Amino acid sequence: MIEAILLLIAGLTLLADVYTGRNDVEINWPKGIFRFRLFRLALALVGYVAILKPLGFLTATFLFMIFTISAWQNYRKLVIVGYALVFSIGLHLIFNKLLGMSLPPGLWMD
Amino acid sequence: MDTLTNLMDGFSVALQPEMLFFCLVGSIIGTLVGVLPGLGPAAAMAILVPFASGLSPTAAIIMLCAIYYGAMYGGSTTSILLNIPGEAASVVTCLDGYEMAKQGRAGVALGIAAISSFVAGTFGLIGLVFLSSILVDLALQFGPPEYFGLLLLGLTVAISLSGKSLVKGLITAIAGLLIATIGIDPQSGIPRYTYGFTDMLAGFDAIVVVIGLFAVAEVFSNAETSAFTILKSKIGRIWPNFSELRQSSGAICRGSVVGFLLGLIPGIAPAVVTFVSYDLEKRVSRNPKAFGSGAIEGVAAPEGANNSCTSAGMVPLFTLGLPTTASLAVLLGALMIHGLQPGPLMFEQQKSVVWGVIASMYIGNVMLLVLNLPLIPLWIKLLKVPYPLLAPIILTICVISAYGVRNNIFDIWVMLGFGVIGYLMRKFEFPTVPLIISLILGDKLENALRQSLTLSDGSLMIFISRPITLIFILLAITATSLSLYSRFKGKNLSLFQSE
Repeated sequence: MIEAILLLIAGLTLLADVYTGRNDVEINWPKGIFRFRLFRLALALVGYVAILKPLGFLTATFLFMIFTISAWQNYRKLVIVGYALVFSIGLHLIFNKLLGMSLPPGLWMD
Repeated sequence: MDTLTNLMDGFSVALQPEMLFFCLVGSIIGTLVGVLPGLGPAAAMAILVPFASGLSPTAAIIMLCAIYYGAMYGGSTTSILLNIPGEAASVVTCLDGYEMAKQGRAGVALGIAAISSFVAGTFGLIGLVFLSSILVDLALQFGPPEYFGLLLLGLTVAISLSGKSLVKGLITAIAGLLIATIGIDPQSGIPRYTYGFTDMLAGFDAIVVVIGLFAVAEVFSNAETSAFTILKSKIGRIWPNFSELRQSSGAICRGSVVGFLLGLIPGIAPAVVTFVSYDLEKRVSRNPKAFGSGAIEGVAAPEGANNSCTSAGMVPLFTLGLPTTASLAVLLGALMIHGLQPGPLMFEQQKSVVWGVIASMYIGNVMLLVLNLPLIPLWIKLLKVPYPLLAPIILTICVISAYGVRNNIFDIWVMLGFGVIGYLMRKFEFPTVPLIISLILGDKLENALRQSLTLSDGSLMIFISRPITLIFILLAITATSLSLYSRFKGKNLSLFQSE
């Protein structure tokens, strides 16, 4: 209750500050390619978490890395796939085998 | 004398091979975090907490602490060599450090940074040991009302110093408290703010929130900038000569003291501490014009300040359970995961853990001094890895870590949500530190309040009738009024800057 009231007061004060121009924050929203990249990155993350359980850590991470890197920079396809392969398997080995975590197994029941 | 015996016992714990190993691992990870831009100590510590939960409490806390102070060492390296602050606390070091590198004195700058860090680390440790002993005796007399007053004071100060706008700090802190109440009420068993979702019953884990706010949000922010380029510079001789040492000795001492004192205050980020110490150096210097064009004091002072500030932060954390920065809030979370309740009782009941950790900080400082310089070529190589290739790995480790907290996909969604919130908070200049501190302290604050009210049969008078509590509450009111007053006068203290 008290929290809600305080939050309301603080919110209204902030609104008043903005209205009177005392709280001008200049926001640089990303433009063009950067906005597109950010959007694809967010999409990749949502997709990753969604497929993590059904497909398992290894497959999902592999796909996520390919999607994220290609969204970010233009590399040759082979480089991206190879990189994604090495690191998804590497992370799987480190966390599942070495550190003994139980990440979602999905398609690959080890 | 008792303190010295405890410290010696601490060293015998910290010198065990297992502890030395985790201290080393933490120091190296910390240096790496300090070197790499886009991953601060708070994020790195939060990511590692779930993985460290299998370790013994002492080993886990030793490693996490090492990450914290290791980051302060590592941050200077890239600031000096490449003009890239790997970490917010080393932004100031760029000013003179990079200038020195351009003049071919990079090695000396790195050397003095390491020496200053080491001296300040030692000073900070001595301060930590003695101040803790005094505070513990005082804090042993605290009951729930006193503790409530103390937490309230800590939170208020953190809000007042967190950012340019008091209102925004207040909003984020209250939001943190609200998030802390999500889940089953520990005393009555009633679910709060769960909206019928079973996943919400356990509440939002603070570690998951920190990973979202600091690590994921940082990657989002980096996605909208172009990759940075690496410059080449010669390192040259490393050991400063006698006149350089004499020139910077005053700066090292002042930096250590300033860092330690400011490090005790909640809400002052290490980045601000380094700035204050740099500014002080410039003011006392006989030759202020040299600053910004390669003054060795300009490297020595802030590097010392950020190291003693990390040691100082351990004082309120260990003795009172009060975190002063986001990283220390994570450390508090980790302590609680390992079943340790920071506070005066921890000093009595968990002697080997507390003193082992304190002693390990000294060992870690020595390790870093030895490790730092030879590893520089490795760090520079690592910086050449393009960020687009690094980002998916950072994000994947964040996902693994959030999942690892409770083996639950829901936690990853929470992390992503807070990633977006953190990104927007940066855009709209909302400080994130009060949110983390109040989220971590939320439960404790509530428990202290409820226990006090049970003691007094529901009367609020208990907070006024007990002198220590009253002092804390009055101080909290004073802090807020002072901060309000200075804002109305339109004066912005240089301290108002967020991490």
